[in-house]
Amino acid sequence: MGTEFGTIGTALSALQAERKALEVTGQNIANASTAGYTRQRAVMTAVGGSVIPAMYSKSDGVGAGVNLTDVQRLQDAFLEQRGNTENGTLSNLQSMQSTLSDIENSFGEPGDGGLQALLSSYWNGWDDVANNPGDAAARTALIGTAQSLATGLNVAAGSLSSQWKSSRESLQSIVNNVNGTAANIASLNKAIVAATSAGNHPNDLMDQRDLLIRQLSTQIGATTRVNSDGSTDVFVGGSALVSGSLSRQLTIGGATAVDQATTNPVSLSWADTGQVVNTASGQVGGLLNALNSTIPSYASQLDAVAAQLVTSVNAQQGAGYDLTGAAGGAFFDPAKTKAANITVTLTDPNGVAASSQPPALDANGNPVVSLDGSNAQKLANFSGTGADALYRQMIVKLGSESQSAQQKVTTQQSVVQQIQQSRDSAAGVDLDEEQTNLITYQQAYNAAAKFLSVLDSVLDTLINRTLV
Amino acid sequence: MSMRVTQNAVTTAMLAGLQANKAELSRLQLQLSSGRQVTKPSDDPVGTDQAMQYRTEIARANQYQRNGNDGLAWLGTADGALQSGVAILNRLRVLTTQAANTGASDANARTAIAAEVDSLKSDMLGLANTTYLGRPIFGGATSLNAAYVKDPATGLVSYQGDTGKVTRTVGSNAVVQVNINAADAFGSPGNDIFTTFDQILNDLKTNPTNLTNDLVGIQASLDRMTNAQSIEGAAYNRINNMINLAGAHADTLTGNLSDVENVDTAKAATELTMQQVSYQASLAAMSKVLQLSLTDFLR
Repeated sequence: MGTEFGTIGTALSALQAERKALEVTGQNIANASTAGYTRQRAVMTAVGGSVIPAMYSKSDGVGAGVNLTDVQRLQDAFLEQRGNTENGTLSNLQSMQSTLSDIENSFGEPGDGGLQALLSSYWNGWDDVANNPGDAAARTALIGTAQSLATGLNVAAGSLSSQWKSSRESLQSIVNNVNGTAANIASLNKAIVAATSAGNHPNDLMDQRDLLIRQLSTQIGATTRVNSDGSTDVFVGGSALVSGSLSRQLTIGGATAVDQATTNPVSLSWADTGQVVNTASGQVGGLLNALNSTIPSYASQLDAVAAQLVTSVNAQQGAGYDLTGAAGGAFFDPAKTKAANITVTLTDPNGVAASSQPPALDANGNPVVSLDGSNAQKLANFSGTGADALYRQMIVKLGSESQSAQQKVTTQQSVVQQIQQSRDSAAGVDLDEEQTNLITYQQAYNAAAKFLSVLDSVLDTLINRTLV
Repeated sequence: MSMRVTQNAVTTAMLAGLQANKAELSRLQLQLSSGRQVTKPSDDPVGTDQAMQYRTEIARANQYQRNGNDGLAWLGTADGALQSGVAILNRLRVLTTQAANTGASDANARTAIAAEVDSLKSDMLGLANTTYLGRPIFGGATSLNAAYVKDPATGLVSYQGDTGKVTRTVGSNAVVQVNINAADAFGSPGNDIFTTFDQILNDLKTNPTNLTNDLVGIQASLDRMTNAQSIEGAAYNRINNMINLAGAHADTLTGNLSDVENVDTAKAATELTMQQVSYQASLAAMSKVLQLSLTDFLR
């Protein structure tokens, strides 16, 4: 049996342990709504007597109180990993979806203000010339609609190009952010390893680090590995971004404008080795996809519309005769067949080749221009085919891609939400539970205090009232 | 292991539900306020394809109507000219018959008749040179300002237009010729209506006995001109039909476009009301559930 004073130690250990447990509960309650906080639990162990008997010291088996051995972080490591992966996928899909939806917005279809309406009024302008080939007003109006159409194509190409530039800028700023976050994680790792080896519980540092890792997984789709010393390594595309207390830097290179993207794609590489990072996840993956594939693809489809317009109109224009009797010259500048630079080169209304008939000769052998409008009518009949059809196909493709991206985002959102809920269930603070714990620890503390006062009165009886 | 339910989990789930409700609410409100259910291609890719085709076709149908109306004006001008031409030829026949019957013996009467015939010839030349928007309607596709020209020295009238066609496209594959060929209305050059006039003028002066034969030529010109009128009338009717058809087509297409693009207001308004009810319900539930805590029951 232990001594009386030894038993006071038992009471003290109980008071200390319960007070510490109350502190942990208080910390949980205080952080009930802190982002990334993982609930903690005070782990208490009974202090047994010495189980190895010695000649003058042997335990009577009752034990010597309680010891608070650990403050556990109640985190499900598997859920954390899963959450990080799914978050990376979600932000990747969201980034692709917002790229497509921005492209949609820049075309303004279906509506009366889009390129399709400009194409229609251009072809109708040819009808008006066909009706009145000699009318200068109809010819001037036609050149006006052609200029609006060319400007419309220039503007659409310009908005794709500026969307590309702003995507590249946000890629740059995200990569800068990733580099900073990686360095922060490395220094947190260092602090955690130091604290753990000193026997502390750096739970709050771990929470901070996990929050940063979650941010990294959203940005670049990072995966992790937990080390036995408490540090966590972070990997991007299979290579270590953070390894213990060391971090590496990423850099981007390649095209700086949309028209270079196919020949010299934008690339993400390691600053130290120069090796290219293959990542298809996170915002970075989504932006790389937008920069190297989505935006250039729509830019080239728009170029195809412009090229079709230039070649088909110029060819038909060349087959006809203008109001001076000469064979039709180029309507659009044949050297500028991209949406970004398509230009109306015809400025003289008389140069519109409305007639299919060459000039006839009059009685005196002088040429008489024909007011035939059938060549203009052939051009008017291009409506709905050629450039119109290419453009419509492009918009419909854009619509279905964007719609499918939206659906993927919606699905992924519910996956992420479920994981977030599971994570909240496992690691989140339940105030009802904490209040129950509060009462438990409070009563235990009260009881331990009562125990101490009982011991006190026992000792009082022994010291002050016995043998007096 | 039964699922732990924590404050955060409840809040997150409820917020997600609320946001889904609110997104749906805002989508319906946007639809109702804009009146459109397809505002961007991804709202309905197939619908977008249809809407774009409808728009192109509507623009075409409207243009076909414009083309047709322009053609009708052209044909209307020709119709007026041909009617006057028939009247002139009838008067010519009366004068020629008169000259053939009574004028043979009376040189003075023949001279008076010849003066009137000459002025009829000028009228006919004026008719043959009728213009629409500055173009001679019987001149084919010529850019000259008259179809026939009179030699000031000899008084002979000759054709200087061409045989080009003036057409109007009034439907896909519906091309209608709106000009009457000069040969169809006035006869082929060298043996046309003006040759007949010259023959009569000549006979009135020098060979009155031949005037009876000239009546045959007048009848042939009249037949030709009434025939031209019927060609013109047929073209007029055809264009009129096509304009009506294009108008009806445009109306149908506009209806289709509206079906694809526009909101069914009654449906959207009903959905909006339902959505508002469910949003209110989730708000109420959220405020009730989140208020509950063990704190309320502890002293």
